[in-house]
Amino acid sequence: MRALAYLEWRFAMHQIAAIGRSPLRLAIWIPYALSLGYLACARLFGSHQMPVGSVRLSAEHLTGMGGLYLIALGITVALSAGGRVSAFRTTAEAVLFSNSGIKPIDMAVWLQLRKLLASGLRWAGALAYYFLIFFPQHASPLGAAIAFLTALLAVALLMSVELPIFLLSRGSFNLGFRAFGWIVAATGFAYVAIGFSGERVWKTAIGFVRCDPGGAVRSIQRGSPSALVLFCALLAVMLLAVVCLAHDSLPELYAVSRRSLAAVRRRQSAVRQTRYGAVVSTPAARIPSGALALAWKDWIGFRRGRGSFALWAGGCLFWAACGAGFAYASIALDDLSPMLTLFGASALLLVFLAPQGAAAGLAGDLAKPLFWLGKDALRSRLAAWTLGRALRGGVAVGLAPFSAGLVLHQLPLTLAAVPVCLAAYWSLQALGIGLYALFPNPIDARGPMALVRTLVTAAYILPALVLGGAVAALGGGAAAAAATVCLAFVAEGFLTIEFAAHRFSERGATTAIVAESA
Amino acid sequence: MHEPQLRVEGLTKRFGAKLGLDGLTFSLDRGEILGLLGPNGAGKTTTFLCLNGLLRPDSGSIWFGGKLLGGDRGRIISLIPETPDVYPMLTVWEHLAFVARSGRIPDGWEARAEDLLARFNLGDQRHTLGQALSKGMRQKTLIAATVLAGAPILLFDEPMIGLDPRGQRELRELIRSLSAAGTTIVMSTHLIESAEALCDRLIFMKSGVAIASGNAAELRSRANRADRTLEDVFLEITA
Repeated sequence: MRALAYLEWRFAMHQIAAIGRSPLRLAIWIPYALSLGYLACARLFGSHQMPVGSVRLSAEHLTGMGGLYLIALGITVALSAGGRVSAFRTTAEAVLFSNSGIKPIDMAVWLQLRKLLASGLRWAGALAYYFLIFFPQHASPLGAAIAFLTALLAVALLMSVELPIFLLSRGSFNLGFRAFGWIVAATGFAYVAIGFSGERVWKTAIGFVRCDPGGAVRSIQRGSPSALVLFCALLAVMLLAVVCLAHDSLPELYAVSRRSLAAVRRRQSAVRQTRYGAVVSTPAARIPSGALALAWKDWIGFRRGRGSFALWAGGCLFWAACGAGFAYASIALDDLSPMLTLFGASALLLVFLAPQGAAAGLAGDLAKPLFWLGKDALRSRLAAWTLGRALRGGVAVGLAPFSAGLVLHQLPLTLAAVPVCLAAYWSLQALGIGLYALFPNPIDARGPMALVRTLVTAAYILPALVLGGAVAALGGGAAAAAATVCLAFVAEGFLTIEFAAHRFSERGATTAIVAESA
Repeated sequence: MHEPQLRVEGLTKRFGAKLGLDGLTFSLDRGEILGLLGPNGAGKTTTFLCLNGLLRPDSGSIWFGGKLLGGDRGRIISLIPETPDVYPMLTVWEHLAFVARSGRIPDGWEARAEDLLARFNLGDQRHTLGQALSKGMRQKTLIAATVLAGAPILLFDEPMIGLDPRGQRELRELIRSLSAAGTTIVMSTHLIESAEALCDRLIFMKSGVAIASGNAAELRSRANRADRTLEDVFLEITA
């Protein structure tokens, strides 16, 4: 165990030394630290008003939050039982540990403790944010400390449950654990639906099932010592399970780690698996020339990817159903705020994730020498590359307002839906590669980077929306407003691509190599 | 005055305080094969990235046929990296078609592509996806596509790594045939015997500096080791 602690210690020291060698990388922490500092000062020295907005969580919202936790827990349990566990950081680490002669139990306990500590540290900042914004002003310092610690343990439990569940579910329990996980996740979905369907539905549903995960969330928020004890006990049980079950686990841990790491690599380079070993090549005459050949390459990759078309078609149906559902709800329900919250949150999540997907895909392409053999200017190739990706995503998302427009008999909304979403989606892809050109790690969405991404994305989409709103307010009509939004997004997209092309020029390979090694 | 096809003058690249390349200078005639040899960290890959335009050198200039090259020189000096990264979802033939179309190569490229497939024994694999190819096949696909693009200078970074003996022999023959057809080659390798057999000239590098250059006989005589192997000479010079 001492050797493992030494390894971690040296690892941390080398990371600090690396930061010391290029302190510029700390720049992304500045907005994070500033905003956290501002919130802390506002809470400590400000008035009794909440520093950000006036969001107070109702009982329904707490049920929804409990449901979200159950979804995450259920999915984690099901996937862990299915072997989706990232025990070792790299396959080299697994081999190193195996060669070191350290007992498998010590190794597994260490992996579990490391996961606990790492997830605790990683989430402490995010929870501090949450508490600074939402925690009741009148709570005592001790209550606040207990609440914060309990929330941290709850998150750490969620993040570190995979190894014990994997060890527990080996053999004959496997199917049972997977089924249990999916049942928990489905229950979570039901609670989220109840939590975001308005007070009346919530009261009826909770009165019927007589079990509300919102109560547990409330206990944590109140700083209940029993909740703290409960989560401590759960973590201890998880650690005990690892101790009892890890004695012969090294080969399996090695195998699942390799699988998980390979999956992460595939995700980072956006490589899809195909069901084909050999296919009939596309005749050259059907391949567009110049930069558009990249859009063709993306399309052919999509067409051949295993399950890609089904996934896209499912996405189209999902968004169309969301739009139609929202439209019907707007007709039937008095209070639309829960639906708006849910719909808005989904849209925001998409706005946040779309650029990341583009960055991950581009990282894989930039690392390929053939990308650089294209004759057209880099900006044209990047524009075509983003267009190829945006066509699918933009159309799928655009079906939400399209179907809403159909249900509500709003012709302008129906007509403008797909073009506006396409322009916005293409522009978000451009933003993704712009961000990647600045921060060459396509998938980093941890605390400071998440804040930077959020701020940049918000600053990026606001001008188009404001311009569109202004045109509508000035009596320009819906068509003019939609056209303005489209044009603004396209203009922003081209500017961002120009910037990215300038950054990538002469440094594309190094950017991709940095991303791959990150 | 004789103008070499490729002239590199004073190529220098710094990574912070560390010198990756320090004033590298050499020139190459059309069809010549140059081998870069050196211990790990000698600056071979940095040289390739700078030559190809993927890394901006701090100073120095690169001339092609008497013309100073700018930043966008990847189509003149093309790099085939150590890990041959191809598109997993494109077939071998589609790689060639993709390069031809994106590079706006004029009509008639199909015949050349067919010839390249035949020359690299890729004919049977033309409809195989990139993800299903072995490393050697991926490397051949990448080379064929790059040659099709018409780059007069090819950079091979550690091309023999990961290839079986047959693959290595095929690659050597391929490099020779490319050279005979007028393509200028710069390759890095740790296989000194291969380099000796293949390269017209060699540069020994250490810590970003070219410490010796010439053909194998010249290097031996420079080290006063005419009876020793090139490996002995290399180890002595780079010690």
